[in-house]
Amino acid sequence: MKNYKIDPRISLINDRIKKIKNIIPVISSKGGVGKSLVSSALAWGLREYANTALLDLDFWGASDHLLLDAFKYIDGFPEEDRGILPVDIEGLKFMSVIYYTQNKPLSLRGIEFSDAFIEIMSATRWENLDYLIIDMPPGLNDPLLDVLKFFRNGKFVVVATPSKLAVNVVKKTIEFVKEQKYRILGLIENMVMDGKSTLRDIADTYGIELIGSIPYFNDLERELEDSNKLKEGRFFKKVSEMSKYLLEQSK
Amino acid sequence: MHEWAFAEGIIKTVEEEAIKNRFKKLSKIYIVMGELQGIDKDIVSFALENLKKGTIMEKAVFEFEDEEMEFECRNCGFVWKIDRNGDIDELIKESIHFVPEAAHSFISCPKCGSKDFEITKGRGVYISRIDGEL
Repeated sequence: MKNYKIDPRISLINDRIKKIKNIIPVISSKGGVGKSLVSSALAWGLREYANTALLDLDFWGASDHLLLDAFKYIDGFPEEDRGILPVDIEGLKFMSVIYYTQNKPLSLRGIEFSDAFIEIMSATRWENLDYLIIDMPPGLNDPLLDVLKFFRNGKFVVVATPSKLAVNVVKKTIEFVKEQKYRILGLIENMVMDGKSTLRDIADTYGIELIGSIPYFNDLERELEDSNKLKEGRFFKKVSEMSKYLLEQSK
Repeated sequence: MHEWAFAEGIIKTVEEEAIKNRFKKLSKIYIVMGELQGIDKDIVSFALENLKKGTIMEKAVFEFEDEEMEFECRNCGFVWKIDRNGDIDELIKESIHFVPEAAHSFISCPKCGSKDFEITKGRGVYISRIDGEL
């Protein structure tokens, strides 16, 4: 006889992620640097070449569904079939907690975030994937700790802006991930004004690749009004070019 | 079926535990079903009976125990539960079934209105005991 309180979902997560070749969390401890846009655009670009999924882990501020117009592709809840099937958005598999909160505010403490994360990861049947892009919330807290814990083979992409405030925080993000011996695929610089990159030095200092720089697009807010316009727009096109770097890295 | 995922998780977890604890044969597995998530016991049971074939628990019996839900407000300390069959609509019930933490989007403390509460009991499914021969 053995008494426990064992969570049956954990071993299921390990089983599900075995079928994913590349898990790429898109991180930055600083909010407002464009992680959601970069994650969505990277996933959108990759889906043209490889079997790709996007997971919005920003439970508090989920927004990828707006960028991808994700409710257009589903009626009600994601389909159930021996688990939950991610929503198919023109070839991109997508999952977000937003399907279960009916777009209401979701306030969770860390431990509750972890439980919801485990629930979604154990239930979602991604099946065979070349890439799982994870849009992370800002911070060095529970979401990042959970991702580090469950995805030992995660390959991280760091997003930052040239702002002094973002640079200060992004250095800590890079140090935190690197000192635990996780792999950083590179840095993406967003909202670059007048072609002035400030993150080249940071990338060199930490020995990581500067995957690319995204200019500050004045008309981005207008593109956001229409998902189709956004997917065809300059921001997505620019980031799609960077997705080729990820393809090269995982050859 | 979401329930099928739980059954798969239970089978894999028990197999791992059997190896870890050097069980040669398993006779009974105790599974606690939290009330909040509203998991269909019959479907889990059916799935387990199918999935156990050819495993160390082929001859084992699965025993289910229900656990009542309980919420505790972190703001005022009030303890309460909801009636899944009466207090909430189907959409909310379904949302909580898939992700119990979605309760924080729909439920507030009946005393002070805070959404900062803990699900202290009956959240979901767990394995509470494994009987077998070493």
